[in-house]
Amino acid sequence: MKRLTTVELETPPGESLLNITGQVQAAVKASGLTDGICIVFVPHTTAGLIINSGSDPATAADIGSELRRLVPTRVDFQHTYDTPADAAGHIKVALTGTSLSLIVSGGALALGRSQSLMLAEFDGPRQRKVLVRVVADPA
Amino acid sequence: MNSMLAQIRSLPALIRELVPVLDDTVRKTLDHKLCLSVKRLHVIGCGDSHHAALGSELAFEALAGRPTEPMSALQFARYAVGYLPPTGPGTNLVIGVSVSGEVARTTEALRLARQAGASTLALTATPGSRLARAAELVVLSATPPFPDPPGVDTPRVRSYLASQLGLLLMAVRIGEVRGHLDWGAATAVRRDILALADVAQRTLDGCDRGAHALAEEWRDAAEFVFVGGGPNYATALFCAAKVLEASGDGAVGQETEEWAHLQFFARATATPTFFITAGGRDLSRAAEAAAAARAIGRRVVAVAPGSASTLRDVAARLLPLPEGVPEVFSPLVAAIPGELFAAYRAEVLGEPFFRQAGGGRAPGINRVRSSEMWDAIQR
Repeated sequence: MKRLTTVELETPPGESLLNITGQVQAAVKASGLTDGICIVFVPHTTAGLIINSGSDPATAADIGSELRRLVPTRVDFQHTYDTPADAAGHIKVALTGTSLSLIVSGGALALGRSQSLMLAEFDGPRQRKVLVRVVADPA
Repeated sequence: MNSMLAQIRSLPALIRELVPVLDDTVRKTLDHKLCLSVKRLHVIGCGDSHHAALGSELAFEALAGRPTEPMSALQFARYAVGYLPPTGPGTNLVIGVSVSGEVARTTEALRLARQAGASTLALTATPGSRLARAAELVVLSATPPFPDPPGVDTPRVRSYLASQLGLLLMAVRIGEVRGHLDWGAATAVRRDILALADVAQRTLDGCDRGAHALAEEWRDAAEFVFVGGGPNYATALFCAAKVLEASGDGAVGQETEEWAHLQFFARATATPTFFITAGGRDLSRAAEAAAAARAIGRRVVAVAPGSASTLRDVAARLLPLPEGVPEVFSPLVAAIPGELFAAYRAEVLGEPFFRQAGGGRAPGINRVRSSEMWDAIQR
């Protein structure tokens, strides 16, 4: 069983929510796992993970704008080594998190009908990795 | 090997050493508030530092997206500083460049810039110098020690490169904080700047023998003209400066268009004339001017990529620059052929650098450091 898969993505400029459900489902299927746990993890500090509705692009837009309202890209961050967008991105990732634990049943992610996995990019364009780790139920 | 050649040959390694250090310093010095506030820049200096300032104009405009006016320190301190637009705190950034930090005119300019309400930054290799103390912010551009042989004062090329790198990295920093460069673009530009080390090495390898041959061939020449456009007008001025320092020959740096209006009419026929271009926006005019120069008997050298065929084909000699160097970065390598020529010229003539301070050149007599400074802006 292939237990760890790395999905590589190039994200667009600025902020974006990228639907990665298909790539993660494909990794689970390729692993051969039938029942167990799938851990999805991004090893980044300005990109996070979200589960939400992917059927209407407006939902992603709302999430983005609400995160910007909570964490405006302002001038007076203490972290100034990179850009204000980078500094804001670090805070937004602290809100979204970088890891999801999902149930695998019958060889597929047990997602709700309107649930999608999204990579939340807060300071693109960047080369990003999504790590997909499967853990089988004990025999 | 003469000490100037040794300095020139150290430039690729110097780029590799300095880029990470300067980038780190620039990021820590130019904070978000400053980068987001600045509406226009003035970059000022004297001599080599003025040339570095001139060569940085395109970088600030293209990478930082900010209008930038390079100026001699005299022009700024005595004429321009009183007319800075009153657009509010942080909106005018004046960068004063001086390796020693003790040039009177540049120090005067920064002091008066502060009086005028501008934000001021010193780019210098000397912490605690008058320039450093005159500015609110300091970026240190010190290069690792490269001692001169005893009794030799070597024309500087390492410190010039350090100043150029400092200014270029400031442009990137301002550009990325302002969002003019996104993360990917800024990362790519920094990578390209570091890769100039390899470009510099290729330039050295491609031009060393040719520059030496020209110095031997042109023993009879008494004056040299260097011509460049855009950011390489600065390169032309700098190369002329190195000839003046190294061998003491008459040397002039001139802008490409201006050559056609001015030096075109000089009486001396066979003056070696170097046309310097990265093959960018100035190429067509450089080719036209070089053709005219050749027609009136000048000994024409193209300092250009080999693909710049319109120029290469009218020149008697080529000192090749590597292909594909973006014009905005080109001043960091385009000076190398002229530097080599200057170093070899001095060697061929047996001329001591800087005339070994002879001929009445008592220390300080040109008052670069002791010139009387104004205390207040005059309009």
